[in-house]
Amino acid sequence: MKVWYVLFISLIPQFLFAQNNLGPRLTAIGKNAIAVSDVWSIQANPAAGQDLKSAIIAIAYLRHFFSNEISSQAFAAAIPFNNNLVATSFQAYGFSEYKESKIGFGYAKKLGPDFSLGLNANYHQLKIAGYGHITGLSLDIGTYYKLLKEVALGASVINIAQQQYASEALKSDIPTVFSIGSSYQPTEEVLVAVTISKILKQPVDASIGIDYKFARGFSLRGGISICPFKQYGGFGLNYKQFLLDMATVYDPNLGYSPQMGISYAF
Amino acid sequence: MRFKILTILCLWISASIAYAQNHEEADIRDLVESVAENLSEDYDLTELTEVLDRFKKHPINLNQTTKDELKRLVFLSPLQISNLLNHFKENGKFLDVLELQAVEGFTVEIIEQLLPFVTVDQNLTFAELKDKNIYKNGENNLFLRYARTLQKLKGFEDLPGNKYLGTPDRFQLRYRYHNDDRLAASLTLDKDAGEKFFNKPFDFYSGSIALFKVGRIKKLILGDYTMQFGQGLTLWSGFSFGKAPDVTSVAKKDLGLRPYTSSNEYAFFRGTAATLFYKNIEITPFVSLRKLDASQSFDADSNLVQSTINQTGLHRTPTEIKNKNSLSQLVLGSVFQYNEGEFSIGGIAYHTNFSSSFISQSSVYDHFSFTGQSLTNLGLFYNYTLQNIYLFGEGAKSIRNGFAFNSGALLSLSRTISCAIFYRNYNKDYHSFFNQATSENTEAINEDGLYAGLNVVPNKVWHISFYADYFKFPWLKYRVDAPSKGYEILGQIKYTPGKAFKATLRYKSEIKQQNTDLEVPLNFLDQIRKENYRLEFNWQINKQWKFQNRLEVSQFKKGIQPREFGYLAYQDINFPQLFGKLTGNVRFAYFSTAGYNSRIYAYEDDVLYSFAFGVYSGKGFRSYLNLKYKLNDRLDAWVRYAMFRYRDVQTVGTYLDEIEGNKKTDLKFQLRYQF
Repeated sequence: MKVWYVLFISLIPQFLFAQNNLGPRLTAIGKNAIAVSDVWSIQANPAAGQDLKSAIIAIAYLRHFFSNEISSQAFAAAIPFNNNLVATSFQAYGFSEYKESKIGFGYAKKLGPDFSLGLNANYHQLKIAGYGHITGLSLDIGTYYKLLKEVALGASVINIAQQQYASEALKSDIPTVFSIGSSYQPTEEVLVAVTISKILKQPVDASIGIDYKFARGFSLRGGISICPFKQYGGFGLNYKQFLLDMATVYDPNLGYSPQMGISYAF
Repeated sequence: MRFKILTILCLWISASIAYAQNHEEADIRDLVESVAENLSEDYDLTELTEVLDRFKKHPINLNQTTKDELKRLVFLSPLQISNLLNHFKENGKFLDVLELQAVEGFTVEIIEQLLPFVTVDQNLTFAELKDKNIYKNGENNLFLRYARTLQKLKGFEDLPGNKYLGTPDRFQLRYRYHNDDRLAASLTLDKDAGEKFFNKPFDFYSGSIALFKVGRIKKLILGDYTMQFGQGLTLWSGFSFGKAPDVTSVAKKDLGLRPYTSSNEYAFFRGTAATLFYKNIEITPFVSLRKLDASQSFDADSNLVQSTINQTGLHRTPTEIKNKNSLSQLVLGSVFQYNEGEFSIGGIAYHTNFSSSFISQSSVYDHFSFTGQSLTNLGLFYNYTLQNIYLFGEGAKSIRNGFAFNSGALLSLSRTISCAIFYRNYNKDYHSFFNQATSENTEAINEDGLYAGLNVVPNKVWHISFYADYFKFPWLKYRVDAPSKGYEILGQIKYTPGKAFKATLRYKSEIKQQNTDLEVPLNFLDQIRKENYRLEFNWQINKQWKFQNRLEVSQFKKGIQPREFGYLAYQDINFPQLFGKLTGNVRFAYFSTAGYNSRIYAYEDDVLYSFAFGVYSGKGFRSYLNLKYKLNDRLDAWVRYAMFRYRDVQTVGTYLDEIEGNKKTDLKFQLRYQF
């Protein structure tokens, strides 16, 4: 059964990208992170943390489609100071016999009142029971631009050098992703985000999502991605400096994938 | 010299008046055009334009309007209507129509559309209108319409077997009488091409007399009427809007009981019905006895049976004439409604009885279709406005058959963003003979789906809409031999930098499943992907000459077979008053589609703002010309000349509608007499 999971994971490219855990809030709005300021969006766009006002740490847990055994755990933290932002993250995906993990260190700098540039360096490790482990390095780059008070634009490239795992024995891809996105926030309560992304060797994907502060401390979120077609939904609770978020992804063929996360803003 | 000045003055005055008149008609035309996109091909738009035309002549007094009256303005969403009525409660009456801008959800675009149909008048009271002489304010409208395809259809030749027994002319007469919203009467006579001209006495006749606001009687109708309640699951006769770029269209606006004024030969009730009210409660009892067309045969016990009802209303061939009025349908029931401020709830119960039984057909996908001789339907519907959210829904049960329900919400999240979410679950064995609920299927049964839509209007210039609908069909369908699923997405961006220019970009994609066409030992479902891209420009010169250009590309792909492409490009020109009293518009179009699967639909202008849906399939040219001539104060005449010219074909059409050659030309005349 475990071998079957391993084969399953390694043969389906979608799962490889699943290692980029964006946290339940951004997942609930359709995995739109390019132009949304959040501690997790640094995983998709290293410059997107521009509007963070204070240090934040967050953890998340995700259960994948299909089985109760395959899960993801992730941790992210970001500290803004002066016009800079330093971020760190850790993600692990898989189960006992198969584990993909990634540690990242990011740095972003504000190059003007509205514009920032960011870089993220990641160290990847893939461990398969009975086969050993392989490692790899990748670099992400991103930009973020505040066009208007309500509109932000972002662009990023994940794994810009198209690095792969340093091993001949196991052929496993670190996906390279080109994305551009935009967010529109007309009032404090509503946020609409759109992203168009292209993973190399896969068709273009577009997604749209909405985050609505329904009442004080309570948010409702929903999103859609087009290629492949998936529906996303979730909610968030805000109590003092704690944030509790839950989200789920619905894939018509694979079912539901729930996740939850907690973050604390200093 | 004096003569010259006089002539110029006269021309200038008549041009100004003409311009004003043209402008009036243009408002309604533009509005109906934008709405027409969301309709099915057989929706009769004439009724809609009649309603808007009347509101033009008798604008709605916003200070005294009701929810029912506002619902008739097709472009207002239920949330906007609630917000407006709420605004009056909280802030008092309007002093000026432009105060609409202060109401939540009313964008400048909506207000501009609304202005011709509303007014604010603080002085007019009901009492003043009540006592006027009933005949003084009567308005009569008489329409005569004649149409004909110039080429000869195969069905009109002297064929041995099946052929059209009538004449190729299409004829329609409509008479409407209105009196101050108190009394209304209508008569419609219709004959389709191929039907006999004088036929007991006419192939289709319909009429009604309606009384309004008499004591406890809100409406009383004798004759033909329609009923539209709730979300269309239990009792909704006629047609309704489907999924559209205006995402709020998933929430239906029910207008209840109304006189029937369309020429569609199937979608109405015939008998008598009334809406009575007492405080917040309304009750609508009704009874209807009709004869429908059905193809019948004898079963093993020598009983007459049928499997479907024929809804086309065509009686041209010997078979169609034999099937005419062969099935008797009795419907009786009642609708109960309770309104309390923001909350409305309703219940429906009715029974349908036929003179002969329905039997099921042999195909497996028809396994759950209706059988028997009678059916009882129950329904419960509600809507509730909570601050900036409009909640709506309906549940329906067909006794000894299935259950269906839908529910949704329209949310106005900010001044610029509104969204809609809608869930539906219709059992495979749910039956109702008056079911027009929002669905992907043509009939709202055998479907589960979740729809989400978003409207972003950041300013006057940009309007962005988007929706995604995911659906599943739990049982088989025609040409789909297994449960299937699919989704549909639409994205549209409208750019309006000024009054004289508008650009629209639209993308629509639909994925469904269907039996594969390949020869395989084990049948499987292939994926069908349909995509449409549209780019459209609307521009004006001098506010009189209007132009519209559209380019549309469609793509069809089934399984691994190669893609089929289709293209359509057209140019529309609306010209202002020429030579005195003549106005009109013209279209030139070129289309090229690889096959029927990649066909493109586009609405076309017709006489008196009525619209037709053009089907552009094959390769060729399409052109039409509409002219309107104002004979005098009471008499208007229209003429329409339309032609399809196909390339590389020997015949046009199929079966009895086949024409020799590659052209199909239609001619239509219409006369309106108002007195």
